Amino acid sequence: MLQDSPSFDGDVKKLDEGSFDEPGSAILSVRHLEIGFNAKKVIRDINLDMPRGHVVALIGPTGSGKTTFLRSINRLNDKISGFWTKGSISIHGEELLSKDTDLLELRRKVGMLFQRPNPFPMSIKENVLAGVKAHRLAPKSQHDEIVRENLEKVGLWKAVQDRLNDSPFRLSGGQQQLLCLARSLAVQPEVLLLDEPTSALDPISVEAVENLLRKLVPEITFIVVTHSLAQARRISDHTMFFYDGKLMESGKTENIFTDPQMPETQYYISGRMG
Amino acid sequence: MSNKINAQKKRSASRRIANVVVLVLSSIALIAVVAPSIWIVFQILHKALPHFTFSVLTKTGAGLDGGLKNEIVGTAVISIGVVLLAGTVGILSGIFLAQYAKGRFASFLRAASDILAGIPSIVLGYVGYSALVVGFHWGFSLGAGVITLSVLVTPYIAKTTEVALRQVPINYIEGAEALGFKPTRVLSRISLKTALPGITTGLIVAMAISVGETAPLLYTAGYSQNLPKLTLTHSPLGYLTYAVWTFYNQPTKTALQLSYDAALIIMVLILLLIGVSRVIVAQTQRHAETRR
Repeated sequence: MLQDSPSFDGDVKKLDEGSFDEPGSAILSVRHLEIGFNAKKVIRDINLDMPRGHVVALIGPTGSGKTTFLRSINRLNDKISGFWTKGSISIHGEELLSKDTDLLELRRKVGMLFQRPNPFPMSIKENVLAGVKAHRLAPKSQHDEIVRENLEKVGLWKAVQDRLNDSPFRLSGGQQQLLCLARSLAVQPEVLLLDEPTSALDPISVEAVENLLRKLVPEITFIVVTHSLAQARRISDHTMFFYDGKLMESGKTENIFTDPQMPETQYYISGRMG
Repeated sequence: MSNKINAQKKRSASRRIANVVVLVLSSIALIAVVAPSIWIVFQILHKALPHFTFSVLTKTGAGLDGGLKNEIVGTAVISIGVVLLAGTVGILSGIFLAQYAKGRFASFLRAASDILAGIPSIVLGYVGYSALVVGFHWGFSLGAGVITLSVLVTPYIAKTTEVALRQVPINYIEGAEALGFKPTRVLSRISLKTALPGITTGLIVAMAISVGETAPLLYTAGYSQNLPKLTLTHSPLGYLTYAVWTFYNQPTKTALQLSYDAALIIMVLILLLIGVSRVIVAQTQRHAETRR
């Protein structure tokens, strides 16, 4: 059944037949990855390469393992009891599933945005600076500038410039999510993992977040788990279809949606499954 | 048709009756809880205020006369000592139970803490007496009193700290971890801050217990009408609950008066503690998701 799926033979280009255009060299490489909780295997032998500077959508039915995979990239599953991994995930060729991996630096490079906005219980300004202070990225004299720059990047500056010391929980859900994005951007990540980042937001906020992603590539590589096929189609350059813990198909988004190769992919994107 | 309507009417009537019954019962329960405390407050005010003079606060005791300055200072010193000792040990234990203890070891620790919390205070007082006052030859002393009271309230502080830490939303913690916070930073900047109202409440209740507790202190702190010496051993000292209990049973009017004054001061102290804790909580929770 897996015979027609993209098998990896060590050459990045072959996976997607040369479609990783510049600057699309692989930023993240996954080799023979298996993930599980105790006896349960959630991801089975995945091989893939994430092109740098693109938006990559991970789609697939509930329970297909895409969120587990996403959360393994910044090792957020580590604390869950019974969690294990086999194989390799590397960023710039640097193994990140190793015991010696510097988790703090990994998480600075690979940020994350969650399904529900999760601003910290501190002022708006302190939220933006939370990561900057944790990693001591900038002297205090630059903090105001960093706050402004990142809030402007996400289009929130005008709305909050007069209440930087207020609680973030008075903002709307969409604004809170943008604030969380600003907080992630402030530590200058290379990759951002997005776990259904707009599923809790209203349509206008969804549009704002989606436009932002398009604006922020190719500076940042986005890996987005989404249940909205329309969204995957709108925002992503590449799409990877997960099914039952396996990577069934991956390729340019337009190809996946117009000319899917695997029957499971066809079923899923035509709305007959999932 | 009319049968159906009748049945409906019956049902809505019985629902209304049930509503009224629940309302009445819960109101009675509330009154049963609130009335005694209001009555106590009123009684103390009624007995103490007409004769109250501020000299009670400034004069130390002299036999069955004089003031309560030594007891007030004694209670303050003991409470501060308990907050420092039991607060440190209790909060650290709570952090350990919430974050690090796992499996059977954690259950064992929790059970041990619960058992300690269930021991009657007078038993702890006796243990403190035989171990510290007699065994270590400390005599009646500030140190023996503070340690014994601390043993009494530490499980309580540990429990409230653990519960408060467990209620910190996983959203915050994962958000901080995903941003590359060190575990200690997650604890100090996110978890403890969010859990602070719970922890503060635990500390304040512990302080209120140590202001109001008598039995363990009778065995360990002894009594003195002099101002407390700030040495840990051989330093018997007075405290307010002792005055309430002892002076109430004395034959003179001034002694009885001192007893009510002491009760009034204890009450005011506890109200102050509650007030201070509210201010601390309000100040630190300005940016909280839900206001408390």
